[in-house]
Amino acid sequence: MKKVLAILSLAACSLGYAQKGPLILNNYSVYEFRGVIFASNELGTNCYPYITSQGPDEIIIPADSHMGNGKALIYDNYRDQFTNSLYPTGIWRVTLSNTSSTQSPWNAPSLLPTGVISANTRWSGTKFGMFHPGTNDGVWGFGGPLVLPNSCYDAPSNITTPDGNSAEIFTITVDKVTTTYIQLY
Amino acid sequence: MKKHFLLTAFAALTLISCNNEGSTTNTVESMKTPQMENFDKAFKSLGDPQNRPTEEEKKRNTSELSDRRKALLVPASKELILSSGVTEAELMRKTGGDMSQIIVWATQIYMKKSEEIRKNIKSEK
Repeated sequence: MKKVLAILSLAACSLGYAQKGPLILNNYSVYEFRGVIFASNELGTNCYPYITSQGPDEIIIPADSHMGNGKALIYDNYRDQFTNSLYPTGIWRVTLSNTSSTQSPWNAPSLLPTGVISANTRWSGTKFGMFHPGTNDGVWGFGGPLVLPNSCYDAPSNITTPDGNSAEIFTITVDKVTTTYIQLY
Repeated sequence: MKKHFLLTAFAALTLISCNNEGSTTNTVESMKTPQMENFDKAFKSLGDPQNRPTEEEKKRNTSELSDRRKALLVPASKELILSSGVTEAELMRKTGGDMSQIIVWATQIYMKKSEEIRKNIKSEK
């Protein structure tokens, strides 16, 4: 309950904050999501800096977890997600160049919502696989990288599987606040 | 004998009470308003075959959800905003009819309402 309140108040004042807005992941499918999410700077050389979730190795989001039942993954920024989200990321990998890549805890000063890294990156994608819940049986074709266009990664922003599942990433923008959605159907 | 009866009654009451507890935790979804349900459905419907990005939309090379697909979210968003006591005139004045603003506003209302429902359920316990 506190979590949602905190998310709301954060969303309300995120205008002045970096990261440009929250990430919302809705898993409407009957499969389990396992993957990482990342953010990057499309204006920088090779999109540096880029930030990838690394602890846990994989974020696991159960089947049928979305806003409709209060189980969506919602990340406001690199730091506050740790206390506000149902699926906290404790460690981020921060890559500043091809020779500089470090692990940072969620509360590292460099990852503050008002910091330079937050100001210059935006949520840009995920690498994931979908699994039959509680097993290691992957769902054929339902996975891979999914990125926003122009994010330095050569990958689609939506996929459809032969069995009719699909996944996509898109944004909805109002003024300076961009909400990024990753949706799995 | 009387003692037994009382004990049985007490046990039954306990069982009923525990039962109720289970059912209240399950009502978060059932307590949602029809407008909230339609808002959920609208977001989920973006994955329906006819609502997926078209070839043309895929070529746009932009992150933003296309206007065609935003329009799929607008009716349910408007309904939800109006159900919170906002008038049609107010809605138009505040958003200028901008689809993104309507969707984002509705999302905020949605989250607030979910929170209220969760709070009510907690205080009933």
